[in-house]
Amino acid sequence: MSDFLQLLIAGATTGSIYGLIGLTFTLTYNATKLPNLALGEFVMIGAMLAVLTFSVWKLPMVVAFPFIILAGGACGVLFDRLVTAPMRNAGMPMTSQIMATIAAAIVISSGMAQIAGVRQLGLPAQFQGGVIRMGELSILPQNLAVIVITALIGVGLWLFLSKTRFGLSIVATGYNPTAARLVGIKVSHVFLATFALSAAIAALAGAIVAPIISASAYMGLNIAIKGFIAAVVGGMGRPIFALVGGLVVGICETMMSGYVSSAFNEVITLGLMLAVLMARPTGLLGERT
Amino acid sequence: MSAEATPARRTASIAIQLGIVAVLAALPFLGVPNYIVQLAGSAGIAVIFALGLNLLFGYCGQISFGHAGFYAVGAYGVAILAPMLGYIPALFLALLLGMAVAMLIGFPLLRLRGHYLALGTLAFGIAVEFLALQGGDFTGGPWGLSVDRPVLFGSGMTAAGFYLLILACTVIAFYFAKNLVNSRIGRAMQTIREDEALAMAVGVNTVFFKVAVFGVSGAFAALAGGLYAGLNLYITPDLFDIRLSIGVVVMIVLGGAGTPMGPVIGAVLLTFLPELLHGFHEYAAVIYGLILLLVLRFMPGGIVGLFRKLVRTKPGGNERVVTDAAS
Repeated sequence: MSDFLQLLIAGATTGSIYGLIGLTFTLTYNATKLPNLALGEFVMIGAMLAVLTFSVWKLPMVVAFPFIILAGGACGVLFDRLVTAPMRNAGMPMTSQIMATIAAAIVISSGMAQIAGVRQLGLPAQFQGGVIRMGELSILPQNLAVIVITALIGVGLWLFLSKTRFGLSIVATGYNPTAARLVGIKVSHVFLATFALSAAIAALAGAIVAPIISASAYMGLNIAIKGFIAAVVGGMGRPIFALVGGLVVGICETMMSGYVSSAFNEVITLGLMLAVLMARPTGLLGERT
Repeated sequence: MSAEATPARRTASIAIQLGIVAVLAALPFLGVPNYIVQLAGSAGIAVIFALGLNLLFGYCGQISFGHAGFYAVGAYGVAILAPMLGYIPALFLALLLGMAVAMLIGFPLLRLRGHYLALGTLAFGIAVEFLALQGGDFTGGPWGLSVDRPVLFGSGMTAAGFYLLILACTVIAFYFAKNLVNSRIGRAMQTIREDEALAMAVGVNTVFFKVAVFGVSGAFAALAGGLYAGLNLYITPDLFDIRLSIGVVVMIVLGGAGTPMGPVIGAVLLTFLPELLHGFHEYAAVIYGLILLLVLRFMPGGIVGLFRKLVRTKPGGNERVVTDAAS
């Protein structure tokens, strides 16, 4: 039983990261209808910046985290201005726009490989301290921090999208960009803001996961795929669904590695996604249409 | 394309095509260095790979970012089956296997909209690479597998012989693809690309066609992979990573998606170009990505599209109407 709970905690940790990435994916997807396949590169940039700020510069946490979040947001702005906005404004077909995001992903990751090399860079946990024990259960502070930060971002984003003016304008743009424009929402600003916000969250996710899985130039795509699968499994309807999807994917994966073998992890997640798509095309939580 | 069907022009066109094939077939016997013949073989393999994806993406409008997965299925299929069956039967079986796998994963993904296909194929490509890496003795793990030198009619094939086999497969693949897109099936595919709802409304079984085309393009990719295994005689999982999947997309987009010649031009260019530019290898991925970005934005019809535009706008030039597939 304690094995099971222990695996559950481990699964919830990786699941939180998948969920966070899925959440940022859904955030831009719902507003712009563009699946951003370069999302993982912002996670990679966050992880790399974490190595830089924590291991090399040895900055305190209160400086390093805001720096990483802001830098991630800035990358999101650049990405929209240089890649997605020109394609969108030129009226290119959606498949071309999707391809542009993946082309950008290749440029970013292989560019980073030129700068930082292809090695896996480790880094000490940002949240130090002894193992926290709860009865039979023990959990590392870093893992707990990942879960708590994910929960906070989930709640924060939900409040932002449902209670603030700007959040509501993002949702409105997603439903109908033309109508949103008619009521005075500046749609191009909304698009820019969702890219900045999702890149900032993705960079933060990269920074807190780096001590657990280490950072490397080519990590982006693999981790992004898990995020996409989380979003598809949970349902693309709302960013919060992706968090649930991420937990499902993460826990399934960890249980399989724990009880069977880790050899087929990628196949399990792919199979899970295909199964969900067959049974419920709108995701586990998505509305039936 | 078939607008000028006067018998004389038709004969001339067939003569030119036969001439090109004859020159290509004579290549190993003209004193061309072996290295160039080997490269031409690689180009042929890339052409087959690109032609298959062009059917799916260029003509049917469905994107795949995991075609390296089918290529790997072909390569590993040949490496594993050839010692038991011989090279040619193994190649044929690998082709069927690639088709079967493509239809199996295509069915759930293609029922949904294009975005799921992009994500699902991306995940598929990574899953195949991972399986090859984790396959133990069956796939040789990270060290990969060596492939027996292909044997035909009881004797080992020479480099020139294998080149001719690749050329034959490339020519068959080219005309198969060309005839397919000019058939009723091809018109159904293009209707799906232009407007899926319209295709359904006029009675095209869109799911069937999409899954079938996905299967055919998977078969092309597996054939290319199987030939690659025979050419290189050694395969490792990292050959089949995401860069290969993107590389083939770049070939099609650069050459001109949805045109018969586009993938041929793109594949040949991108096979020979890196060899011409020394020191290019280090930045290959960055340059590929940048080429793709710039072509997507500024040259959406690729090289063929650009050429057609020039022909059309030249004053007093060829006035025939070209259906612009890429716009």
